[in-house]
Amino acid sequence: MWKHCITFLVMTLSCFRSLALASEDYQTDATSLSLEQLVETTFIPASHIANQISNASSAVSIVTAKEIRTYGYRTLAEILSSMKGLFIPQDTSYSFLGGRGFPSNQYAGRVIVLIDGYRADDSMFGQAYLGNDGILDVALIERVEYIPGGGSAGYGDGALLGAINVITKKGSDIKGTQVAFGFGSQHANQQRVSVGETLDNGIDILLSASSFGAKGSIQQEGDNDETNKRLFAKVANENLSLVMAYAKRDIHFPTYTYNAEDTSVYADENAFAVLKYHADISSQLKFSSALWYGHYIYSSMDKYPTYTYVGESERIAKWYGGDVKLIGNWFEDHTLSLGLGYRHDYTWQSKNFAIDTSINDIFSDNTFDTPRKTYSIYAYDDFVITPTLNLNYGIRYEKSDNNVSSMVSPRVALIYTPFESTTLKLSSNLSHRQATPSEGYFAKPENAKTLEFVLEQELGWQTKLTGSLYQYRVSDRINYLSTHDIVAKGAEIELQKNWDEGTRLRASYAWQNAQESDGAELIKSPSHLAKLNLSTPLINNQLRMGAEAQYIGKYLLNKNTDEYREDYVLFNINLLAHNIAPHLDVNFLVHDLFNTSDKKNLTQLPQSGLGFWLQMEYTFK
Amino acid sequence: MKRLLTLLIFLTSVHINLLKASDALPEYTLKAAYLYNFALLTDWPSQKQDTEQFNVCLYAKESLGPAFDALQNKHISHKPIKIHYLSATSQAQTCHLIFIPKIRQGGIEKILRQVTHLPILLVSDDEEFSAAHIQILHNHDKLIFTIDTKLLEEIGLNLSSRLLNLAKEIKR
Repeated sequence: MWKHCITFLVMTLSCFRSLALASEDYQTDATSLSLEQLVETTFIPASHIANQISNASSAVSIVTAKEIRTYGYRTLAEILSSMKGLFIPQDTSYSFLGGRGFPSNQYAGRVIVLIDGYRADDSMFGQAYLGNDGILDVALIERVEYIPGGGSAGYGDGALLGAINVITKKGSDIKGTQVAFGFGSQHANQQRVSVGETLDNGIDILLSASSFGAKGSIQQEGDNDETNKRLFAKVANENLSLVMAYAKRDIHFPTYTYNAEDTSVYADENAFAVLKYHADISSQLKFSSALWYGHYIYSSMDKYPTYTYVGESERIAKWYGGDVKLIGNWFEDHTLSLGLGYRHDYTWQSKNFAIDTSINDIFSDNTFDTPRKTYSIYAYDDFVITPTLNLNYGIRYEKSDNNVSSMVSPRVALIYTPFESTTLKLSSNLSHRQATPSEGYFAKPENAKTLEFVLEQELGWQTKLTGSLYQYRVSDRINYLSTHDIVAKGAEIELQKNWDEGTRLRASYAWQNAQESDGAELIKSPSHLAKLNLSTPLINNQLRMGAEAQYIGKYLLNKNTDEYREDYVLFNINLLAHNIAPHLDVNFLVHDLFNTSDKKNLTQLPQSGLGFWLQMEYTFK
Repeated sequence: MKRLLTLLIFLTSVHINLLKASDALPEYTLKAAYLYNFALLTDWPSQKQDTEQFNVCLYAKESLGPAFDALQNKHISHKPIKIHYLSATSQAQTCHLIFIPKIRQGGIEKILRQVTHLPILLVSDDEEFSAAHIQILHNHDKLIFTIDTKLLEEIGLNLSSRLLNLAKEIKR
């Protein structure tokens, strides 16, 4: 552990030192130049620390499209991995979201993923798809905000320990036709075409299609490949918008259950459509509403040729819903929001079929006759008590027709700004999550009580320090292995700094201590996480280097065998050449420089371990 | 050992590259230099000449970075430049030049009400801020500026023809 900690620290300090030296040397005075010279001088664009869009009282982390390009991120999992306090391990097929100590093999569903406000996790497993199975190509993402802490009052059931807000690009962000090709280790390849435009009548259109394919590293022992296809469309004018997305990922890998020939094939299909309307009814009243449809279809096939066993299964979940919301400024110093929501999970199908010559064929069909309807009503108020003190409070009541889920989720937050550069936030939430059909239809919703204190301090020009202390308790757990409460406390600190000459730094450390109420250790819950992201322009701003280091502390892998995963540091480095030829961008990424993430056969995914990725993107204007 | 060596090479490359000189200049360094030139090339009326110092006001909280601080104590018509930071409730009548950055926080209306009729040069890098006398804008990898002579006439500020000649656009 110490060796890795020291490596990480040395690297961090060394970067700070070199940056301090570099910025001292840099010319900050150009008044000796004449106006004629000034108009001919090329400038290095200033980058500003992104402000959060969401009205959250926790310590929000943000990654923008600019950073996605700088660091060469290719999946939502990679974007989230760079954020403070998040930990995203993978198994053979899926990425799991862990944060604030919550065991990451279960975390998906405890943090919801919203795409342009639409809740994108599936209702069968409650999984949020973060890897190549993710519904969006990252090239279409404008920004990602991670809002830690209980969020049911704001986002509804499911946001037990947080929410991830993904905002997609507009057609005007692409302005033309963009074609991208990527190639990487393990025969990975990707193709994308995106068209974006704002028409003369003000309608903004973005259309995109992409596909990905990769062969695994263990082809000699069986097939091992992954492919996906994605479609995206967004049409919007001032008041109305329609967003549609579709993604299907197929993965094929050897399982070695009994023999080297044993294989599994999984397919995951996600799709949604959201229609949103908003309007200003009067100067004091705003109206917004949304209608949405979504589905998730999963199928799997396991083949064990020696045992002449073939197992097939299929899961189908479909849902639609809508909400209406009024935001009023009827009273001075108060911004009131009132809303109603409805969600109908109208199909939940679960079918299994198995042929086994040694026993009889098995067939099971667990189609739910009456899936679930969930109704919700909510109210919030943002009260400006004094110019420096805000009180944020609200409540959401949700009820499902299955007679077990009746949830009251309140929140309260005080936001105090004693100085222009200092903000203190204290918040408390009670949040809920309903069981998914895969966990048991009649289970009571689980709940989390969270308490969080945040300090945001600006330390001069483009320098921001964010610290948070939190604790939470998860009760009524929906978990067949253990029903003990989870109690957790932790501290997180993050420093962001942008230098005028174009260097950007983001460094964070998170300490977290989560355990079961009887003292039992949780699996996949590292106590220490540290992240360092540094990017800097090279060679006259033509090239930008993005380097990142992630330290993952030691964690328990398996309770029964008492097996631990030793701590490690993951290094990634990306070079981005912007406008290398007119309208052409090229990036080259080396992932896991020291091959630390692929130890102990934990995962044999195409993307893990040392690898490279080369991508070219051309925009026809 | 091999790992340490690689790390060392990696860090060295970071150091070297950071210190590599570049012909381009940071955006805010250039913008600060523009402000200095605008101030130099403006005919300040007598009421604005009777001051001890030349007041450059930045509508921003605390700091806009070292680029603007570098203007401090340079001279405009033999007067040392003093940098002031304005907030929504500040008194702004004594400013010679006010820079309203795009990244400002909060509304500018209160300040504008105080100064729009006074001979104070309003400069902004926000293309949507139409009350600015001079706008500094991006044009590919260069910075350009536009001048609104109509607004300037209303308050009686004259700019040198050198400045007008280099403007990308003049609004009349």
